[in-house]
Order: sequence, then structure tokens, then C-alpha cells
Amino acid sequence: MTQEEVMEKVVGILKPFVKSPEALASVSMQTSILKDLKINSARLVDIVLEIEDTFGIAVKDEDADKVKTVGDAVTLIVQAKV
Amino acid sequence: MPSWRPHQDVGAAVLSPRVRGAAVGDDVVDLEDPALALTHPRFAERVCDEDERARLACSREPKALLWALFAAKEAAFKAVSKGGATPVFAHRRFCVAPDLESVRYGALVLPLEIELGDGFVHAVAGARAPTAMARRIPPGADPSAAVRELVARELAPRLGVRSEHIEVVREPSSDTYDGLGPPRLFVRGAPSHLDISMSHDGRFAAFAACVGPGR
Repeated sequence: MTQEEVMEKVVGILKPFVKSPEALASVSMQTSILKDLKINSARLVDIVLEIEDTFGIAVKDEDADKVKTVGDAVTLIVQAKV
Repeated sequence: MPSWRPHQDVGAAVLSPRVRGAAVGDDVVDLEDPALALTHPRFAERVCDEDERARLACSREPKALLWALFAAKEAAFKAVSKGGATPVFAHRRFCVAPDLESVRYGALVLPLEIELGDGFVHAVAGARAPTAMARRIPPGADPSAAVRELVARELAPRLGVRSEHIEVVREPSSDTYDGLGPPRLFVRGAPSHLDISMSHDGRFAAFAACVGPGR
């Protein structure tokens, strides 16, 4: 799976949790999950769990703690799938 | 099942020597936020330890208890993070006591107060007898601005100043989820001895304040 394909799936996971659709329109690897997408810490737990389910990986607490941007999530998944 | 109780608003105790040395953290959860319907089926497994999950299974109010536990862990994390290096935030490592009056993180035990209000749960950790409250955000208001206004409005009379003399500042930080450090209270431009914590979620803004550590 390419990074672009992972990115597309991650955006799909994020979509239900983003209250403002306009925020996703310009999403990039640098997009902050909290500041730009206004996703709080409880929803981030849900997103980590959805990532585990979608990509068939286990995300350690230490790794989940580092996910602050969309790019961080994509990188975590790509590295877990290697 | 412990009884829920409102925060004890003990404004004078904010300045009391008996709470000197505490760092406070708080978190509020809007229990009627539609986003809660998106909660993943394994959410409790991720954030709660075995004992907490057992209590959830037996609770007559599992939804309120789950979010009380979550808010307690978030509040405790905020308090602990003020003590130095920010720890890895693994919710399961912050263990809430069955009586909901303390949170344990490793060898550290923090006092805890939880208020179950009308549509919200507000947790305050790290300080005994803090001044704390949660209020509805005015419709259309910016949540961050609303919580700052709440802090200024509620603390100003206790500090003997006007609300416009109170400012909350968060410095940039690379260690935190939102890129900002903990809030610091300034009164008439000078750092206050009060330690504060702020939170907002959905319809609610909340804060807690106590005499800060090392003062």
C-alpha cells in the first residue's frame, strides 16, 4: 500500500470525527488533528482504534501519544506495515 | 457506587496554605455530545484498566462512569505534566480509585474531585479543595475565549481585581498534543500564585484553580 493510499484511508477514518467539512478540504500531512481538525483527545482514542481495525495493526500507547498530525498517523501506519 | 457531588466552591481556600504545593488538572466532558455515539466498541478496553472495566460492567450508570473515568485520567495527566517532563499519555496507566476520590499514576496518588452536572462531567485532579466549575458556553461563542472569560469572571472577585486585569497565557510547547503548554494566570501583568487548568468540550467550558506548586 502506498503512502498516498494510506493517507486516503486515514482521511476516511478522520471524516466522521471532523465537525467542519471545510477543514478536511485542505488536509495534508502537516494538518494538526487537534488544532486544524478540532478533534479532541477522546476522539483521537477512537481514531487510533479505527486505525488498528482498518490496517490490522496494534498501536502501542507510546506510538499513539506521538500522533499529532495526519502525517504522524500515516507514518505510524506505513512503518507498522513494513 | 460513590455518590456524585458538586464541587465545593471554597474561594477562600484557593489562598489557603493547606493546599499549597499542588498542581491542578481538569477535564470536562459534554455527556450529550453527538460525537459520543461514535465511541469505538474497544474504547473502554483502551482507556480503562481491568479493575475499572469491571466497575463499568457493574455500574448502573456506565456511560456517566466511563466519561468520569476518562475525564479523571485527562485531569490527572494535566496535573502530572506540570511536574516536569510530560509523561507518555497512556490512559490505562492512570488508575482511578473505586471511590472516585483519587487517581494513581505509578507511585503518585493525586486527589480527585468529580462533579456530575446537568449534561456534563467535570473532573479535577491534583489539588484538595480547588476552586472549580463548569458552565455552558454561550451559543456561538468561541470555546477557548469562553473558558478564559469564565476564569476571569470567577477569579477576579476572589483576587480583589477586575476581570480585565486577569489574563491566561499558554506558551508554545512541542511536548503537548495541542502545541501549547499549561495555562498560566497573570494578574495585572504579573504571574499569579494560583495554578489553573482549563478545559472545554461541546457545550461546556470549565476550569480549576489552586495555590501553585512551590509557592
